[in-house]
Formats: sequence, C-alpha cells, structure tokens
Amino acid sequence: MEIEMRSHLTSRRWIWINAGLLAFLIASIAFALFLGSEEASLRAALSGDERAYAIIFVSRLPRILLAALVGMALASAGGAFQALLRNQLADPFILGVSGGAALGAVAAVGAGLGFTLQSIAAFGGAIVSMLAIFNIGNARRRLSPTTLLLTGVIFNAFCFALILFVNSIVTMEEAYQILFLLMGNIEPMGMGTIAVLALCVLGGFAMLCACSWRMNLLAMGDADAASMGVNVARLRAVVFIAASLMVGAAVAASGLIGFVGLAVPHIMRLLTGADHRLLVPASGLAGAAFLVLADAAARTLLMHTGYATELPVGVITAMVGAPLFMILLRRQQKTI
Amino acid sequence: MDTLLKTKDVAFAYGGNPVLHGVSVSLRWGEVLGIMGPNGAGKSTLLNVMSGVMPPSSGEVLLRDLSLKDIPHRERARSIAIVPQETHIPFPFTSLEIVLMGRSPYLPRFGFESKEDVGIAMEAMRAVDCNEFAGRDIRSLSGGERRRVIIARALAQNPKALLLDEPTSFLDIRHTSDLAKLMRGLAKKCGMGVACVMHDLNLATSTCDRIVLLKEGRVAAEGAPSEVITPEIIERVYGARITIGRDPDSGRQYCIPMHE
Repeated sequence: MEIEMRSHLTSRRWIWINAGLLAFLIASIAFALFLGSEEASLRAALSGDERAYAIIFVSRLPRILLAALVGMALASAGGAFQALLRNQLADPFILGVSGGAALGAVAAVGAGLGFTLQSIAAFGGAIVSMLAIFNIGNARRRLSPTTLLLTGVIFNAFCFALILFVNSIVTMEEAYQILFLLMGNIEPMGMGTIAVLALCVLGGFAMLCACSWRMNLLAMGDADAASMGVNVARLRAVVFIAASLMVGAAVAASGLIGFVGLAVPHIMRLLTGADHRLLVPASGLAGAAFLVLADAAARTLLMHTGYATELPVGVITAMVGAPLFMILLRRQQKTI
Repeated sequence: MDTLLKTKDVAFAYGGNPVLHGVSVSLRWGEVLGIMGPNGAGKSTLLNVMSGVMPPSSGEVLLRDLSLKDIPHRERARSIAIVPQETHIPFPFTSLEIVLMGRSPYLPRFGFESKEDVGIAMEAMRAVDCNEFAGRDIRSLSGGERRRVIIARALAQNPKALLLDEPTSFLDIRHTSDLAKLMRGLAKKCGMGVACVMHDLNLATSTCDRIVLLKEGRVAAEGAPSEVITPEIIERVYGARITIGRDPDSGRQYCIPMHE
C-alpha cells in the first residue's frame, strides 16, 4: 500500500507541490526587488520617497515581472514540447523554435514595427519552425534524438543566416536592438508591453495546464493515446499553438534565452515525477522563479567590479543549462 | 454466439500502399480469436483498424451494432483496449502510473485517480504478475516485464474487447503459458472478446476458439484451429510444410515444421 501511495500522483500532492512552488516564486520576486546596486526600502517607497519608489516600482518591478513571465513561458513550453515530441531533450531553443521566433521578431524590427506586431511575427516564426521541425523529424514516425538535434542545428543555422542578413541592411539603431534580441536580455519595459506579454503567457499556460491531463497519454505515442480515448490531432494542435504562442511572445520580449525550457522540466521531473499533470504547472512556476533569480544574478554579479554593469541573463542560463544538457545527452545515449 | 466487434469489408492503405483489401471478420463475446498469417499479411493493421485507432479507408467497423466512427473516443476506450506490438516510453514513469493511464477514459475531465482506480490497476497488475514492479521506473524493466505492464494497462481499461498484438513476444515459457490461461479466463469467465495476433501455431491451437488466417491483406481461411491448421492450408498460405501429430494423453493436436 505504501509503494502505491508514492508511485502515483494524488490531488493532495498536486496541490501541495504547486502551492510550495508558488510561495517560492513570490519569495524570489520579493528577494529580487530588494537586490540591486541602489539601496531602496519598500517602506521608503511606499511612504512617498520618490527615488525609492522609482527604483522599486518603475525600474525593478517591471523587469522582474518580465523575467517571471518569460521563465514561465519557456519552462512550461519546454515541458509540453518534450511530451509532444516524446523526447526529454526537446527545448524551444535547441529545437530551433526560438530561432524561428527570433527571425520573425528581427524581421519585424527591421520593418520598424512595435512590440505587439513583433510578438505576432515571433509567434508566426515559432509556429512555422515547429511545423517544419515536426514534419522533417517525424518522417520515420519516431523522433530520434539525433534527427531532432540535427534538425534543430540546421534550422537554427538557417535562421541565423537570415537574421544576419536583415541585420546588415538595417540602420545602426535597429541593428543594436537586434543584437540585444540575440543575446537574450531582460530589459525594463513599459507596463503596457508587459500586459500584452502576460496575456499571451498566462493564456498559453492555462491552455497547457488544461492539456496536461492528456499529455501523459500523448507521451505513450499517438496510437496508444488514441486507443485510450484521446483525440490526438486536436490535442496536438492545441499544444502546438499554445506553446508556440508563449515562445513567440517570450522571444519578442527578451530575445534568445537558452536552456530554461530544457533544464527546468528536467529538474522538476527528477523532483516530482513524470506525470505531466504536475510537471507542466510545476515547471512553469519553477521556471518563473529560476529566471527571476538568474536575472537578479545577472544584474548584480558584476556590481562591485570594474567591468560592465550587467550580464545578459542568457549568459547565466546557458552556463547552467549547457553542462546539464551534455550530461542528459550522455545518459540518454546509454539508455537507448 | 453474439458478435461483439465486427469489420465489414474494410480496406486500409498506408499512403498509397494498400495493406487490407475488403476484410470481414467478427469477434464474438466470450471467445479467443487468433489472427495469423505470414509477415506483412496485414495482421497488425487489421487489429489497429478493429481498435478504432486507424480508421479504415473504406468499409466500417461495428461495435455491437454501432459504427466506431459514431462513438466518442473516450466511450470507445471503455469498450476496446489494445496492446500494441511495441511501446517506447521516453519518460521515467512508474509502472503503476502507466497502468493507471488505462483508467483515464473513466476519469472526470480534470480528475485524479481514486483509491478504487488504484485498486483496479493493482488487480490488473497482479493478473499478469507484475504488481511487484508497481513503484519501479518503467525504463528499468526488461522487455518481457514491460510488456506485462502494458497488458495490465489494457486490463485496467476494463474493456469488452481486448486486442493483443503478439503479446507473447519477449515472454518466457511460463509467462506465455500464464498469458494464454489469462486470455481464456477473460473470455470464458468474464465473457470478454479477445483477439490476438500470434505466430506460434501450437500456442494458437491450445489458446484460440477460432483462427482467421490472413494472406496479402485478405482472409485466406477461417475456422476452428483443427480446421485451419492443416498441412494443406499452411502450405498454401505460408509456403511452409508441417506435420500434424496428436498428444496421446490430452488428445490435443500439435504441429512440427518440416525442413527439407
């Protein structure tokens, strides 16, 4: 009986783990709010100190919210892609979905469009690359890690060629904006932009969480899922659209931030088990907290040195994620 | 005996490659039906068409008197379960989690498995002697152990028709024998219809009530094992020669392949 209790997901475990992660996310946000090169206290900010108010609510809070939303988008979309492609190495960045989204966003920057249209272009780029990868890699009905990675590498190379092409025909100012997109950076933005991003990410997150009840079956393969009552084509389409929407919006907002979609679901799978009903929301919450903390580190690591004042957050996530990816790849090669 | 699941003149093609040409077979309540034939005859495809996973390109599949395409997916999954030839599981699910997936057609839209569901799953695991792996990572099991977990998953669906695709591959002689006994028990005691793709002529003789022999996507012979497994029919369908013998104690028929 004891084995049975520990060997499957119960509603009580679902609630406790998600509540714990939500508390951790809130704590991370609070921690990040008070971390920075300028001293500022919440009490001063709330009691009318204009300088403290500006630092906490105008400079830091939007940036922290942005990090949380982007982290949530990349990590929960990563978990969903892994179920969809039945491969633990799937991640928006490695698959080339982020590359496609970046190409869309860069093209929009080149055309002089604003954030909302950049998001739509990035979403389009994400959908197109997702479909391309799936159709190329799925030719043999099962996506082998090799095919998947090769497709991602080639697709990324192609996207980057086009991005550099756009980069060389735009103005200096636009080229600078494109460079920041490619580096993966969390930058302060207006609250209006954040609201658009929140709508895309929270909407997509809700859709993925709803789909997560069928994702376990989808991870068994299309035929098995269908035999257990899943409408596979419809589920696939919804997951495709929701995940691409989130990745598109995240890339338009913060550029190419790698490995969050790979590392976070993988760590959560080790901690909470493989059941996607818990894995998808838990990855979203943990991913949000992870990127908030990574961004706080990016802001403050070089604070008291003579170097540049900030690191791009993509540097931090890649330094954590790339070694983890290599370990994972080695382990997966052993088990297959 | 009444018909449980029936294909009416079904055809199926992969891309432009036709596999089944107008196959009509029926699975009755309380029988074990063997689906046999040479490699590439369309056995697995027929099983997948019968399960509703692959809609036929023409003809139809009837569950009792209702066409499968008119039955909602989840409702169908409560009546028909299939054990595929191969299941690749890329994630560290526990065996119990896999078997519990068989309960998903019964769960509410966003529900979790109840104690009753866990009880049904554990009972299914005991039936195929895999309950001791309940807490183990499915990827750490051997081929035969994993196969039994997938059979338990199908049993947990509590189906009326159970379709199995070469379920005894990877199984040792004891578990093969146990599975044959289980299939007969499900048919005779629970009244289920069990259809099973198999290759072993002797296992088919001892397990099946009826056998359908497929060749090149058509039914080549159909009937009781002793009517279908004869040297003439086996030579015509497989191009292989066999000799039939009879066990003096049980009176059961067995066959031996004859190599020149």
